[in-house]
Amino acid sequence: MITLKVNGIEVSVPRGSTILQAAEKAGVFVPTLCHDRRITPYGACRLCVVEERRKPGSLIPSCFTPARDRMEILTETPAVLEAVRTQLQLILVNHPLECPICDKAGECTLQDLVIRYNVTEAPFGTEAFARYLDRRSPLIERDMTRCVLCGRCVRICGELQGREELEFQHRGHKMVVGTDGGRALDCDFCGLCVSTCPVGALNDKLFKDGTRVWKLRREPSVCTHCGLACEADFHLEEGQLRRVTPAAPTGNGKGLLCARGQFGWRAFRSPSRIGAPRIRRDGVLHEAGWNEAIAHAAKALDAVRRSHGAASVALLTADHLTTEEAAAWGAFWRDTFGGGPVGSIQADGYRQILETLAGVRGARVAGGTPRDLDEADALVVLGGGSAELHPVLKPLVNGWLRRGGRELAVVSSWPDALTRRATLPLTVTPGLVEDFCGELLAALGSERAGAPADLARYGIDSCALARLVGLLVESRGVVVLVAPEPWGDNRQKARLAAYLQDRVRAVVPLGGQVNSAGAVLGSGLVSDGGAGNGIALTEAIEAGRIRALYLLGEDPLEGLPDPQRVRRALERLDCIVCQSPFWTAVTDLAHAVLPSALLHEKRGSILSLLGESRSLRPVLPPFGQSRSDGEILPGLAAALATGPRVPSAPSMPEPAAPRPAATPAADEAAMPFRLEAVPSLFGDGILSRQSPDLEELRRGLRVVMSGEDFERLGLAERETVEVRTPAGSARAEAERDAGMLKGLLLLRHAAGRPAGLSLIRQGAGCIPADIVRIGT
Amino acid sequence: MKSGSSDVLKEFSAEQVEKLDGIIARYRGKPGGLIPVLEEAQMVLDYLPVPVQKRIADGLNLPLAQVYGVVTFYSFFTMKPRGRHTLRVCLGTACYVRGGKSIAENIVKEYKVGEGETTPDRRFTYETVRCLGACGLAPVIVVNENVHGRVKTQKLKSVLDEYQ
Repeated sequence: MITLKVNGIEVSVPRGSTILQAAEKAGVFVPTLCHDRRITPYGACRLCVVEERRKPGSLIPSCFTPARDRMEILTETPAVLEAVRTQLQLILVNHPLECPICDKAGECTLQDLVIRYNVTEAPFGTEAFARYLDRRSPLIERDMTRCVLCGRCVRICGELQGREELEFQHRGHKMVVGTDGGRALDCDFCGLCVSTCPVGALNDKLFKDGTRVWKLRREPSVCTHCGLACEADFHLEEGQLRRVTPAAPTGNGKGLLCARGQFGWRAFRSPSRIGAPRIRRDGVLHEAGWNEAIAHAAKALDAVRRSHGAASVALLTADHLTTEEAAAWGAFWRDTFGGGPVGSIQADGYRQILETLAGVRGARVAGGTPRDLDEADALVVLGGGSAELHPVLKPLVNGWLRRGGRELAVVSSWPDALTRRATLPLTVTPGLVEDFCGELLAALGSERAGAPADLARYGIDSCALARLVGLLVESRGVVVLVAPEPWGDNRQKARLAAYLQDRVRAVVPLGGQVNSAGAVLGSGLVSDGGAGNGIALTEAIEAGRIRALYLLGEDPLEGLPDPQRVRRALERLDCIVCQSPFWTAVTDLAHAVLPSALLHEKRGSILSLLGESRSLRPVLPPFGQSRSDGEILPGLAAALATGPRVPSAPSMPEPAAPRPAATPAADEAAMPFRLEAVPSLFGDGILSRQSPDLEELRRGLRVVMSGEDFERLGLAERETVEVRTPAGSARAEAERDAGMLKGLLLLRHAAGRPAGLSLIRQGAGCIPADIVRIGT
Repeated sequence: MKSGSSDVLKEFSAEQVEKLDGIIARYRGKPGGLIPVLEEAQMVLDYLPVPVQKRIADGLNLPLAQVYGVVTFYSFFTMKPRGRHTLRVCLGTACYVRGGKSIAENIVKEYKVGEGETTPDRRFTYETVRCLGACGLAPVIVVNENVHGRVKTQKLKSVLDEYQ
């Protein structure tokens, strides 16, 4: 620690801190424009200059100058004030004074500083060069005439998001920030550039020209699009949500959000929200009162329970409920339906892994906290798509890597976002990640100082493998992230994670929905027999073992492969109760529809995947007659309280084993590609699917292939092609990715799309496929 | 990097693309390799359109935005094809008053080319300069390395006809 004085206030800071950090700690204001604590200091705006008492006249940029012991810093000397004022006047030469029509007015750093330093004259004139205005990009508008070239967007995009979409271009007074060739943005749309822009150059299109910022009330809340549950600020005007921004990066908060959090909020009031309960009478859904609807649902469930036993009713949860609600539902389910099957579709992989880790319900899992992630020496990611499942992992991991000397190992069959940044990328032959994890476990478990026997099969370099094994064997500073495959089998990964759990610093299962961690760990909303996957559920329905489904925000029709088979199975059921905020495909098959509230409309707590407890309070009014899952429960429980208690064995069927590869049919053998379904950066969950803005970014079903395959097929950019697999065929937009293995196809945005789901099989990992040009 | 040239590079010959890939391969993985690659690539290809920059970015494992930023920063690099000859007209004070202005206007009209542009037949790339230090010869035009002094508007065509 070193001690210095800022304006006479004594303050101690760790060695290596900047003068600006010391001033902040002393509570002294220093003006800044190009500074953002999320990224490396830059020193472009020269507004943060200060003087040292013993060296008058020499102005020091405080944002990147390290503080020294016994310094005496002055921030408001005449020389400093004069410099700041002149600098502001110079910045204003190239900044149009169009504050009345600028959305930033009222929260604009430049405007605030001009007022604070009483800059009332423009001695250099104010002739802003007209520069370009990009209105073509989705969701973000870039008005370069307003840009002050502080470089915050360029740096946050490169350093944190790792996307490097924006860069300085040209030179001197012609300099602008832009994309290569001046094209529209085609990036992750994380919105970090918008959140860091100190002026009105980068605008959120959903917010633009809608209101004025001083009319907004800022409510701290949580993003509910994935299990990281990032902190977010909701900005409301008279109860209406107008925008969502990352929480200010103070304290422990990192101030990070992704496209889903920042631009996905229109899902909360999507036209698919259900306003009133409905019941099925004479084959048609009619609106009904709450009491009637609950009685209707309870009667149907009771009939199934009496005739087929309590365990013939299954519960599927999307984990969009608070921990308290999940606990109440878990207790209710065990009491009323004999601890019958409880599972999830969207959080299936997460639940599989977590339950293997925990062994038994209620066991504490030593999960990784943000601190574990921060202080780890190495990260090992098992499985592809981690940063696609949870996009904020990308800036978190990039920030962590920036400190240097760290190892990031990623085991994946495709170049996901983290593989591209990995210091140790291990590209496994498509479809064999699970087998590889199994074999790695065998090698580690037997202390066999060596590698899996048949390396050629996995396509991995033996040096890389030796480094991975070295990391896992020796280092206690390793954090392991486990990314499940959507619709895949994850048991080997889970077993490997369970083995590593006591040997490394932390194991973090990924792929959970917003409160999956709370529902499983905090409240035991699980089956005694463990979660079953979709194919097992479908088979159990087909075999008549499951006769009724209770859906808590989940939709098997939109979430499971082979939607036609799933539909036939669902049509055999005696009863489906849909308790969901949204009208989705399965709602049309329901016997009772109970509109439930979103998390933002209720009070309670949730647990993030990184073990952070977040409390929620209602920031939005309830929609229509919808009620929270907690409010719905008492009526239902009372109506079902008098039935028979049938204790029954846990009966969620074991996850179906991947079938032994039968001799491939003739058409399979002729299919030259292997297709793997991967998570979407813009969200596959039920909430993300309701957002029109995220859907605009997804642009429908997409199939990604290597540049070589793309050229060999003679495809044009964004050409629509037909994808064929033994399971089905569908049209998708073709895309190329230079980093991909030849012969591999990635299927993006399959969730929620029957065409996409019809191409894949549960538990298959990879499936043979072919690409056919339309019209040939 | 595969030799099969994609449609975006089809305006260059297979030989040129092969040379480009060779240049990229020589500097791959070397820090600070971008500017020499761009320089040599421009020697081979004459100019650096975005598809070429994309190939360089992929080959050197750099973000395309960075390559584009460097290309636009340095006036040496050009993203438009240059003509076979570079034609500069001096518009310094002395040349301007002795008829440089009308020579410039004449070139724009006769050769259908704006300042900093290339004629459609790629014969000339036309630029203006401010004083070449040869005011005694005003008005001056420079074609490639050759200085022509006391150029009259009427004589302009015969001077330029030497350069085909």
